Amino acid sequence: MSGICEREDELLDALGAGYVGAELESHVMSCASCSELRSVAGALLDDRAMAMMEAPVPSSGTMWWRMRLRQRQEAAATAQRTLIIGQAVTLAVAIALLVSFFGSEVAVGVREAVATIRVSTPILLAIATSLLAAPIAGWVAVRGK
Amino acid sequence: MMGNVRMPLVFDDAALAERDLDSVLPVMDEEDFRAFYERTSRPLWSYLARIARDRQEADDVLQEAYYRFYRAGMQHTDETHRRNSLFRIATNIVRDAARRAKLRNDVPLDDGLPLDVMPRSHAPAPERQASIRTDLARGMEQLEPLQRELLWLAYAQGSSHEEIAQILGLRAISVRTLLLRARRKLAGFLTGTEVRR
Repeated sequence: MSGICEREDELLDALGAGYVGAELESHVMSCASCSELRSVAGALLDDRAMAMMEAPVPSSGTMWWRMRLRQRQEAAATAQRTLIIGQAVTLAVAIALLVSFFGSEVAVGVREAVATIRVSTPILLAIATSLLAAPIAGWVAVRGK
Repeated sequence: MMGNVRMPLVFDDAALAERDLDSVLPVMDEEDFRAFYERTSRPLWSYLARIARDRQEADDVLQEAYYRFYRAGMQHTDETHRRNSLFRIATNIVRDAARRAKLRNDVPLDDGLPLDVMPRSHAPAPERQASIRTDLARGMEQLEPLQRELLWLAYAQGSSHEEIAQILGLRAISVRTLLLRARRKLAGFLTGTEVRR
């Protein structure tokens, strides 16, 4: 069986309508392509008829209500995100202003404070290692999930 | 209608761009949506249940697909275009879920057995239903996801090759070949000439 029979569309229409006439029936018996089509399309059409009846779909009213509810929830979540971003930007601007006004005095104070700290080299190394490793460990943990 | 939570359009249809925008269907209001849902929810659920092979997933994807479809607020040229858009969104959700499940090495809930049956008067006889479903479900299980999608859309849904290409993101010229290959494979399983894995 190499090609497709030219009567396949006719057969599909007949199967869809639920009636295959005698003449077409005799053709199907002698045509391998149409015979194959009938076995496949017939089974699928029967299966669809059953599936359509058993389909446990919610009512259109329920579906509409659920969609509107979800849409409102997503809109609220979007508004919340926008608010958080706005607050973060405000905070960043405030910090930038503080640094621009008092940055030099604060920097001098920090340098003096650091200079007064006396920490041994192994402890410094341990602190540096943990500062480097913590973000990597966090990334690995998040990626693992 | 959609406020500020619209998502990018996921159904990129060149045909729409070529048409006069005045001729497109308006974005749906509640009444339009409910009517559209009544017409499409059962066919969509049937499609999802067969391509995902999991009823629970079909339930979830159905809701997600309608939500994304509605939220996108897309304009469509006609009812067929609108329906194809919905099916494409749903197909992409199933594919994404399958990709994620593969990454997690999830074991599918499906056991390869057919879904439950609720007989109705114009459905095939109960004993034939069971037989069809068992054979078909096992045959479909042996197919690639794309082959299941193709077969269902072409023969159960009755979509044209152009519509299938739009829904599945394929070139229309490829659909015919891929469909024929999938059909032969499923026919082999149904007639017992194909060896099951």
